[in-house]
Amino acid sequence: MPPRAPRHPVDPSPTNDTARRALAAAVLGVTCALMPVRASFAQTWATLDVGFSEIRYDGFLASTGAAITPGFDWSGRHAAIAARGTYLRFESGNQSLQGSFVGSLISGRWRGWRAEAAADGGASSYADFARFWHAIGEVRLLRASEHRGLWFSASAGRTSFDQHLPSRPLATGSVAAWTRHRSLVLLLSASRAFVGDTQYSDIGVTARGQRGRWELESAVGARFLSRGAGRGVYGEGAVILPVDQHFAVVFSGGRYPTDPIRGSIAGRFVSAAIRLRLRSATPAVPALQSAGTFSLHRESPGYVRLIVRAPAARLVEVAGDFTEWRPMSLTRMTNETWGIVVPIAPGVHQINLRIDGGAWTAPVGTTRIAGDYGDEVGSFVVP
Amino acid sequence: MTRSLAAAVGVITSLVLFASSVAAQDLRYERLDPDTRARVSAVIDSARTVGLPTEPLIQRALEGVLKGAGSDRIVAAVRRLAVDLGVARSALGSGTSSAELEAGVAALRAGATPTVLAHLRERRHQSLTVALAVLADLAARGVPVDSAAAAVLVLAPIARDADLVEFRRAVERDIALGAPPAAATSVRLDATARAAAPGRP
Repeated sequence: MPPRAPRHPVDPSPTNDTARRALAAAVLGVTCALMPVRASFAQTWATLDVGFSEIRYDGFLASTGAAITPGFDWSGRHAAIAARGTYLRFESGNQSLQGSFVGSLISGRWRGWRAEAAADGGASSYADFARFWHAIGEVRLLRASEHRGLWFSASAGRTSFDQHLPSRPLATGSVAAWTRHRSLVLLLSASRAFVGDTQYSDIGVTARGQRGRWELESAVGARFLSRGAGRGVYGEGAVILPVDQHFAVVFSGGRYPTDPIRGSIAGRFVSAAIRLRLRSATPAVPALQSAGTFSLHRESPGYVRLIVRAPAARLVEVAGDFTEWRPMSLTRMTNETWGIVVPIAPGVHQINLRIDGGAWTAPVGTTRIAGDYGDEVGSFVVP
Repeated sequence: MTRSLAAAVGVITSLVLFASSVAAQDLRYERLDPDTRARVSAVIDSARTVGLPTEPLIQRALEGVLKGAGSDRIVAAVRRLAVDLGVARSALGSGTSSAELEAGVAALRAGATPTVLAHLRERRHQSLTVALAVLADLAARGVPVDSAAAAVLVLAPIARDADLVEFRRAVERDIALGAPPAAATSVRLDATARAAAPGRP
């Protein structure tokens, strides 16, 4: 059995493709279903993963590979696009290329339901003797509220495993439901697929959440009623540790099943990668509990206690419109926090923070705005 | 007699406070070098003449002093703020408070249009300070400005300031957890609008 184009080994998303698309659709579904105002809505993300993997395809020896995986996502109110590519070089010197593209159109809401039409195409090659492609059209009915949703989908298309053989027809049907509790999204999915003479069913559970700074993702599934696509239990997990808003370290591993549609064979893997991620509008997201984190607490009418978390600092100062822009030193309250009580009137205020005589910065926990003096100023509201 | 004495004490107290305020203001001007002081004073006097609040302008100049900015840069910053305060007042109306105008400037600089500010004034019959600050916050956190504006406009007639602050916190939390900013806004908007709707149980 010739090796088939390997699956992208450092992608931390759920291995089960149905689950991965379902999870993405859950996010898009809740977004669209709850968009109650007519407003433009467009977000763009781009990622680039660079990493190494140890891969053991079923029936083959383990192999180490280096992977580069660019990704692009764009979502609007009524459309979404996702594209992925992978370049993989094995220790044998063989190389693999994969690319896929999914475009979706989403209808307006009717009695709580939306319809989505998607086109999914992709191709891959391994060394100079294995080439694959697939082209799929899919329709989906979605219903979503703030905390839960479900959908039904059906797809049809063709897939080819060899340029010398005719392509094969494929058809799939799936149902999925998801629920969200705080930062945790839990997704249940079930699908049945027919690819030429091959047919199989998958059920799976995918969980995605966050604990502290760690983003966690895991998927567990089972394949059954299978003819020609293997069967059994599979699962994988990924941990994403953001270094800052642009870089993250990704560790993942697990076992995934054969994908007869996209031409990958079952295997096990562990991988580590550096991820660069960019957004069209990068939010100034505070890293909770990081040094310089700012908070305020009403002390008494007209007075507010400013608290800054700066464990290793020797001197913490603030300046703002409430200090006439004169530096004001904070007092150490605990091993990690510094504070001061100041009179501040209700309204919008601006603040800068300086630690150990360094540069004036916008404290984490305030809204960072571009200042008039080439720096950033933190803005906060006293209600 | 007692009433007259109380009135006199009140007037004297007011005068003392006013004089103290002027003196304090003068002292603050001392932090500017003479050239900067003269040019900033001219801008502030012009702003006062047309009825704009001057305190934010003084603060902007003092911020420049703290940060070691040059005279030209300080004057440009004060002038720019004066212009923006004027735009905000045109949009929000002549009776707008200084705090509202400052929040309006933040919203304008975040990308909101004067029309959005005017619509907010029409739709919300209480102070706009928090609503405008929330609008600017959302934009600064990556929510497309028109989405942020639409969200705040929806909430403006029904939400209290505390609701708006909680809305902003919830969106910020969702974004920090990885939600796309626009999606986080729409989800939280729906929840806040339902919670803030009159007649809730």
